[in-house]
Amino acid sequence: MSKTGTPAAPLLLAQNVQKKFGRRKVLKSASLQLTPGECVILTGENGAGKSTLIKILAGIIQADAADTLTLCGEPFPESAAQRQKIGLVSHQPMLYNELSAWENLRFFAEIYAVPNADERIRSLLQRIGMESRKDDPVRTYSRGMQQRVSICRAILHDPELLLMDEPFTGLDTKSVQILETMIREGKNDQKAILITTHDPMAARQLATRFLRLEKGQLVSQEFEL
Amino acid sequence: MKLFLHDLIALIKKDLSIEKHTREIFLVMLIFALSILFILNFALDTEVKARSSGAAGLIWVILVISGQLSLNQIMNLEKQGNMLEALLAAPISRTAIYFSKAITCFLGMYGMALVIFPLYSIFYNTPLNSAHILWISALGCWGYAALGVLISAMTIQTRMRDILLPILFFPVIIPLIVAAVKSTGAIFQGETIGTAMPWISQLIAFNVIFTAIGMISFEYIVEE
Repeated sequence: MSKTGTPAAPLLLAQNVQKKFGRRKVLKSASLQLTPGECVILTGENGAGKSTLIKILAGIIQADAADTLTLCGEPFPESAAQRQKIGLVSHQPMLYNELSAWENLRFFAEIYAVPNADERIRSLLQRIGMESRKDDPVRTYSRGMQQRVSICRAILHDPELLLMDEPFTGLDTKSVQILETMIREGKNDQKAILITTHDPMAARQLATRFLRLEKGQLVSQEFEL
Repeated sequence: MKLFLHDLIALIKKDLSIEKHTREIFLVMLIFALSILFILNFALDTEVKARSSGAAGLIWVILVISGQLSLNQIMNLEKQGNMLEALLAAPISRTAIYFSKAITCFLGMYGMALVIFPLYSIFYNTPLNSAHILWISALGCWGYAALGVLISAMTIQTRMRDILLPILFFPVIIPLIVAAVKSTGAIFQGETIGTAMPWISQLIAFNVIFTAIGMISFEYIVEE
């Protein structure tokens, strides 16, 4: 609900999304709606199709069929301009190992056309406590440090929709705290956030809603918080 | 168009920056090419005339094989850490990704050609006295890069990519290499550019066809 009491318009609307690999139908009829300020936790067993759904929403792969796929009321994710509104965190860091954190973020700032990029990168690195290591190659970072820089990469361009595929995997306590803070801030800033995890308890304090991917379809799930 | 060029330049700069840090592409190609050049010195006829007639073929064999090392490496950059997915999720066109990879591969291979041609001339006392070699080798290198990146993108997701790449790539590249060898050979032997024109036309046709196929199909290849 918006502040005026009327239901908020969906930021992301996906209806009847279908995807199959070979003969195996991974997504049979997945429908999903996210409103600004929502943080939805998507659970499901390994191989249920959570990552496939994230990849479709991020524009990495195309759905075989979908009745509706809109972001801010406009079709996506085939449109490059619409992908500007999406941030993606994967369980892999999605950073170039041989480049430093600064060089990686500078590259992504360039392709996402981030204004005042240097200033933005500096402030993000400061927030995640990585300023002193910003010029070291990413391959020399621990898993937690890599993931922290990866989160910076995903929010660098201030996206409307944040997609996170198993973001808590292999994180140390400090990195989990930073990630949780950033998710809370995203919710406060009216971003829509979709997090996939096989362990819903890991992010239960952040969630506004839980969904479960079962037999290629999304169903609501209730947890005691 | 302005946005396309901006993204293209950013992608190429990134590849060159990684190369500056690792030196895994050009240096590896150079060492490999020089080793073959050195081995050939013992294997070949010492007579200058015999060497001149086979020079074009030998130089292109060196370029083709060392170029394959760069193809493996250039696409492998995006395989590590799921970088290809990061690029696909970014607001850039797939065609920009394709061209950036083809241009990086071209720069490596053409740079290699600019080193190998004069070195061959010095080592083997073979006269290379025409500037036409510069643009003919550029045509050959671009065709190689345009098709090579496409096939490398196909094989990069497979477990047997190092074996699959040459098996799929070399049979298709034969018309380009034949045209490059024939046109370079004609120039080496002091013939006019008109004599080599049928082969140069074949080179141009190959470049146009495979660049167009790359632009159209790269998107589907990387998304599957």
